[in-house]
Amino acid sequence: MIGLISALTIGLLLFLALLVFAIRLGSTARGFHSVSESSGEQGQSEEFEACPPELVARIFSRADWELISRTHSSSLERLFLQERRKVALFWVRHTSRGIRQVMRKHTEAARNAADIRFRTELSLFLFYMELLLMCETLDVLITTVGPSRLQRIASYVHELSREFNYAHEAFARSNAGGATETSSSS
Amino acid sequence: MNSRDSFRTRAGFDLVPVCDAYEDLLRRTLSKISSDLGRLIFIASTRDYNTGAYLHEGLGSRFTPETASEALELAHTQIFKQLAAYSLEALIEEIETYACASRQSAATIVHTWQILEPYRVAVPLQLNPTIVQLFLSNIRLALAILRHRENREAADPSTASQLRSPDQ
Repeated sequence: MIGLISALTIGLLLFLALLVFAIRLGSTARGFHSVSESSGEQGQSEEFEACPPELVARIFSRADWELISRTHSSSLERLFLQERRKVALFWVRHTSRGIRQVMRKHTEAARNAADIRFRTELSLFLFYMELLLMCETLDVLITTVGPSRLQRIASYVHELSREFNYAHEAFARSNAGGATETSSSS
Repeated sequence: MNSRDSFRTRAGFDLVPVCDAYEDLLRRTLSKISSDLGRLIFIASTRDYNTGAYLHEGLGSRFTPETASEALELAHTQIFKQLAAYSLEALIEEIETYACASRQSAATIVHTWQILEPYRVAVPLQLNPTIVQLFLSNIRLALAILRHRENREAADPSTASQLRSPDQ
């Protein structure tokens, strides 16, 4: 009986976690869309340009927090947390949006590709899902824990997003190369 | 055709003449400004608000107005990215150095900037929006810290001043 209740509880928790994840995924996309619109032309760029790593490190920097805490001012500490949280959320949502953009391009390219490897596509899709999940987790952690404790995970997400972009570029290049070969041989 | 002229960047700049103009700008003009913040404000002030093009007579006459504009745009983006990566401590020093060079007290600049936010016009036109957000946020924080130091000093004059006067 106790085993059944624990299994049901775990199942329910997992279901709730998935539900929250799905809702957040939708609201993040909508939220980012409105942020992009409010920031004018800067969010409208077609090409996803990753933020330089030193700037990601700065957003999640502990050194700045230490400077603030030395002032012993609660209002400055509040302002700092508020400002950094805002920038960190902006970054993670921009990154998440960039990843989706790359995936959309990849799907289009794959649709037109002559030679598709199922295993490569599957691993790329899993990579994509992992990245989105990492972004969502980071989004929640930024809101709850604050950015100053998340430098390592942020750098990891940044590195993964760059790798994902490279993987798509490599696919697009090999695909373009293959298309050229096919057209020249015919 | 000169091979130097054929090398273009992704943005369509003729790279070599722009690089020459950029070097010239660094050597003759920007090196004479004492802080990166001062350099940023100077470059932003050469931009036409309506067209977004940069105008610099000296550089334009040595090269072409278009090349000068591209070199200024390049310098603007570079300096902006550098400043966005500064720690808060370094950014506070930049504001103090800028205040000294402009012969204003840091307190006056802090008060005016907090109200008018003139640093917003120093944002380059084409840039990753996260970099822009970080820069604006860091400036707000640096100004708040300077304001806090000033208030603390006013309340307790024995506290060592962190705000430099223009004569220092």
